Amino acid sequence: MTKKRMTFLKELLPFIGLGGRLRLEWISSAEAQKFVKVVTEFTEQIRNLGPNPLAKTYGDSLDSLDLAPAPSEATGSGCGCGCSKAAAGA
Amino acid sequence: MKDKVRDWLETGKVDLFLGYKQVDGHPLPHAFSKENLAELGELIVSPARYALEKLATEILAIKPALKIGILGRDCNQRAVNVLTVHQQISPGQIQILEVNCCPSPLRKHAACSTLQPQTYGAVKLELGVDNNMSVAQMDQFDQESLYSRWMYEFQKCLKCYGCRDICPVCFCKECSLENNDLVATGGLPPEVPLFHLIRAVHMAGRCVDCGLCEEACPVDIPLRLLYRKVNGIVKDLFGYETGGSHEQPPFSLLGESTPPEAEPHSKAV
Amino acid sequence: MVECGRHLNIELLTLTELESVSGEAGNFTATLKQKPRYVDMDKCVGCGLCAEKCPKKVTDEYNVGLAKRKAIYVRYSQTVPLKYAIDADNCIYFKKGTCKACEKHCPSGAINLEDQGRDLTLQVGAVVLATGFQPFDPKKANNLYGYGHLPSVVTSLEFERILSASGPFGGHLIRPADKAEPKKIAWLQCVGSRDTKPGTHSYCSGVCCMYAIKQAVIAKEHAPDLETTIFFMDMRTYGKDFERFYQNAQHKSGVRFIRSRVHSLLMPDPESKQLQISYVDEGGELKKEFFDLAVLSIGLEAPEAFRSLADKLGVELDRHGFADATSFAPVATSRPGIYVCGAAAGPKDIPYSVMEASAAAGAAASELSDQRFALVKKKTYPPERDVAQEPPRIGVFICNCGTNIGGIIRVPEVAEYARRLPHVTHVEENLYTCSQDTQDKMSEIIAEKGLNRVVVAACSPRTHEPLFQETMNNASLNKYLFEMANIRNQDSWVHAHNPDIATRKAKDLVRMAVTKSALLSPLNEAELPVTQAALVVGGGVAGMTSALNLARQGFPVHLVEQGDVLGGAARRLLHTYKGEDVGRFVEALAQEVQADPKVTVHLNTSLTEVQGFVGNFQTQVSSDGASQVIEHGVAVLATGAKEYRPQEYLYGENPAVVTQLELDELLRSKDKRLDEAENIAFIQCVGSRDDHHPYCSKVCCTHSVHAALLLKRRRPEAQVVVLYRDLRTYGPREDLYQAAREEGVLFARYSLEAKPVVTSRDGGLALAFTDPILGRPLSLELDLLVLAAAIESHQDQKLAQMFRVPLDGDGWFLEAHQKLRPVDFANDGIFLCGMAHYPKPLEESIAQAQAAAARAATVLSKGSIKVSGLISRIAPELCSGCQICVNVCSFGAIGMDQGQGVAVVNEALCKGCGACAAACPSEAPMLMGFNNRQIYAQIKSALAVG
Repeated sequence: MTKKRMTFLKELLPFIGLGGRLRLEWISSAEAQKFVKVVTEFTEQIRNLGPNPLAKTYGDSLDSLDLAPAPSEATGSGCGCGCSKAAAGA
Repeated sequence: MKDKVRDWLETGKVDLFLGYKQVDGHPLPHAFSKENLAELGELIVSPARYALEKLATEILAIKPALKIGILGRDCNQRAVNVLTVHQQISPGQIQILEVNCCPSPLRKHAACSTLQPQTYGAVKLELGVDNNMSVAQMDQFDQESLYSRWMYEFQKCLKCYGCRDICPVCFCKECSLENNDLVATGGLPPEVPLFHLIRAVHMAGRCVDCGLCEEACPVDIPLRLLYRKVNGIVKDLFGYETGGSHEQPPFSLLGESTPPEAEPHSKAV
Repeated sequence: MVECGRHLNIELLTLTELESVSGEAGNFTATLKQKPRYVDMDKCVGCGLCAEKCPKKVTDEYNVGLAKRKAIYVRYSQTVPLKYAIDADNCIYFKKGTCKACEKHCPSGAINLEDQGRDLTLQVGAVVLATGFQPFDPKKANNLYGYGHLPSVVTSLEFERILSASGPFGGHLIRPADKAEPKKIAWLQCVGSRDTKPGTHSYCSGVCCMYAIKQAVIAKEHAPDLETTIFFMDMRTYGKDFERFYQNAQHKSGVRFIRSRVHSLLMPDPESKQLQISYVDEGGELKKEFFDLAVLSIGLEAPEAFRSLADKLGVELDRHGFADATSFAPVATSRPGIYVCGAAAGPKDIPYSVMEASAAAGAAASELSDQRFALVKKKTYPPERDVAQEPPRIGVFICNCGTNIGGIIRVPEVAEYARRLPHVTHVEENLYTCSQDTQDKMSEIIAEKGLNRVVVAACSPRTHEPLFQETMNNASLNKYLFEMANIRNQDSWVHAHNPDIATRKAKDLVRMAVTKSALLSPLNEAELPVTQAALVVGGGVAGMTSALNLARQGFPVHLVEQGDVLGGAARRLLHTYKGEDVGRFVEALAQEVQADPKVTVHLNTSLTEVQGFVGNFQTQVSSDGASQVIEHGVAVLATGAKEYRPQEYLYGENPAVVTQLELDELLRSKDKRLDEAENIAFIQCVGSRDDHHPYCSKVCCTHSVHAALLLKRRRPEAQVVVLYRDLRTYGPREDLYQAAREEGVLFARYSLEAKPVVTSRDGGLALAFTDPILGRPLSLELDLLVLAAAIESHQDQKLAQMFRVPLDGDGWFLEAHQKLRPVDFANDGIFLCGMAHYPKPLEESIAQAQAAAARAATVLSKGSIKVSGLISRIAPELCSGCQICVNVCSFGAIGMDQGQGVAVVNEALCKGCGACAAACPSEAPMLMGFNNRQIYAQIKSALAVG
């Protein structure tokens, strides 16, 4: 089911200009090498695509999040290391 | 046509018939019944379209014993199939009296809303998406252009929910588009592009390409094109023709293949 | 292991040896000797500081000498119990009287250098021997293949460690001697097995073919350009899905297979360390080839100490030094009340060992059923506090895990950060959050500060969540008000080189966990009553064994058989490979079953409908048009398999062509034809390992070899030929093969491409085949041709659908996990055994049947079952009744409330997988403990700040 949904989404996203930001892999807990390889490759791919055009849009809406952390912390959007931005894009 | 409806009502083939009647110069949906056969004279066919099957489904939810006939085109038939697949109606509850897709007998199965292509202004053509385009034509744009064009269209959204409310296959009691956890409420435009993507994903294996959403849209967002793409993917990937049968769509079935009992569970289960 | 270590009613006695067992079955007195550990198990938290500081390096046995460990150590990082031990033989303190580095550095004062061993006496009802095997050591057999001398020769166990990510080279594929990356690797099969050289064993070790293929495939995954070659005599991939794995290795992974036993290895050039392998190929030609590394596929042998243990216990061993057991009681030793399982009773693989382990438990339980629960301890918890009306008050406990977390992540900074998060009332740092004293303290703080949610930022919930949840229970809180953030495995270990990033990520993870925990609500674990009766489907040996075992454990059993007689396929078998009379056994078993007051036998009966779920099944059966409903708590499916009716080799056309079962019938009835037959041939793999049935039918090689031997013994002057593809007399069955060859049975190999040809000639038969060694066609006049016909599944889709259990591609019932849950289905309360699972010899069917009974009894012995709180609930007001959730539920757990037209979850069947929650367009299903709101909040929290 996951495969079906993701294959579908992988076809849809490029149609609205968000291609290349989704990838699905099966990696077991015993496949450390594969995990490293996939994450490294994908991180590289995402970096090459440039910043997620949606990050800002998404970040803005967080102000309405009633469970948002203390106001003093809620300044930036995206952690800067690329991880959560990539997640938002996917 | 009127004779046929009369026959259906008199023989009890249907208890109720949903068609159109001219009211103050407007063709509006109207329920004809055995008790008021005289009204049948006012039954008309016109380019006006409503999701009559949606009305019928709502009536059936209250009175499941009724049999309802509707005046319908191909898209209505597809919608009835989809509603059956999703258990909103039972097979046979709705009978369709077929009429041509447009008033012209010459073009029986035309894609109705393309009969009179609209022409759009320069700004939309430059920045947005031309509603007359086909899925294939969209490929000429690169990713960046596609993104900005779609965002241009989505940002016009007034969140009137017209697309959903008119949609013949939108039957959910609770709509994801009004779920604050998914789409932030109380702002305009609604979260771009989430709002439209959620609806697009929910249309996979459901949209019957009737085009009512686009007709209803006050800001001309090319919704039909978006959903055509969505169902094109479903057809290409899974060979599923939405509304063509009573088969379950791929996302309602476990396993990689579509037919339910074609093969035993694969080992990946 | 973790479950075993945590189980309230399993006491682990490590470093302990069994000295003697006196008394009799049901009432044994066992004396044991426990060696000192020098580490207090209650105090040791397994931080590893002692081993870090210990100055003494010792050869690491776990990494088969490829790495070093310390004198204070755990065998490997997942050891259970995770408690360090001092190896006194190597410890500087015990040798020289000074050092005590471990004592100095231990943060919890766990080192006790004065520790004395102790003698223990236990009263037990039964003893299970699960002492395993020791790997064959080629050094002991005159340094077989130069092992020990040649640096490029390693054993398969060494290679396993080389491949392992947690091994001495971090999973980097290198040759240990010079750390060079090998380009060509050869596996040599049957090292120490199927051999007559001094120090080797005549039996087949049964597992090496599969592990060699696995290693070759994995090695190729590590290094795609690697050339891998396996030198073998017969490829014995006889288990479920094994043949497929072999075919894929050959055709997809590109592993090269050469049928040849390598005579010796040479290393002509010490510089390159390359090995020269000389071998004779199938055509009889001598070939030479160079390899960078040779892996010896070493066999399994009985541990040296096993003989003395067996002597002490009075348990008899077979000629190979394994515990002796009959085929009809495969887990019983010669001494009543002492059971055996796993490789202690002969070489075997993981699935069969696990099966036998359950079987031994089942066999022991059937003898001890009147004392069930007599010594069981139970836990009680204080009543739960109602937190529904309280605002969230979250306690955050951040673990340093010694230096595992604290050495990288700046824990005080994370704690300071956590204090500022919404709803957080209390934050503290612990050296070890999991230690017993921290647990006690946690309980106190929960009470003192009125906490109603707890977040622990430490390691993996997989290992530690149950521990913390128990603390929640002890502190009067619902255990589902707990959340973990894994800042060790997913953070400090991954970003060990970058404390800044690790600290920032720890904050992210803690923030996400806190966000989710605020939304947690207490969940209820529903209790459902269990109908303490079993339904066994299939009256063959597996079904009868299962039924009898359950009946002896005190449970009423309904045994349903489609035919008019009990016994199944075994009725047609003559004897086991050990020569035991099957007919008599089946007869006796059937009588026992019919005489047992707790077993109701339903003959000529089939199932028509199954309803319900674990603990509460209602099954409708019908017999001669009359139907009845059986209520039962568990079901065992033992519907067997059938012999394939060959379409080839003139079967059915010429009366001289028979199947194996038909031959058994001829033997049983002492048919005259057998006395007259001069020329007899067997053809193996008829309908097996081909397009028709891609799997190996497992039992036919042994059956044919055994029958050939019998026929040869009856009439030594007769010519008996066996045509085979790979001869698969695995385990001790190899002795039969050896005897057959010695006594003059002829064996000739044929290939799938050049099958033998059988023609009718003047009423007689002619057999033509190509001799692989001579390479020329041979022809034989035959009086009798025996076809080793495949074993086929019944393809019982109907039964599978009734119980909602899967069949695999070949029609065998598919177990929950091939290795770890070999007799369970993924659906609770349904078990399988016998040939319905896969073709197997009688003793394996019996062991599996006992195992299925044992597993079934774990359900039946409880008066009620608790359902996890982590299940799906469907909000009726949101449900539109589209039934998408019904369709996507793998467990058949969702049904429709016809009145309201909405979907309803059956709590007992729901596994909490969340498929319904993901599929529903209206988010009506709520996966308790992981509901959409909680997950969205967590995602938003992840994106909120940096």
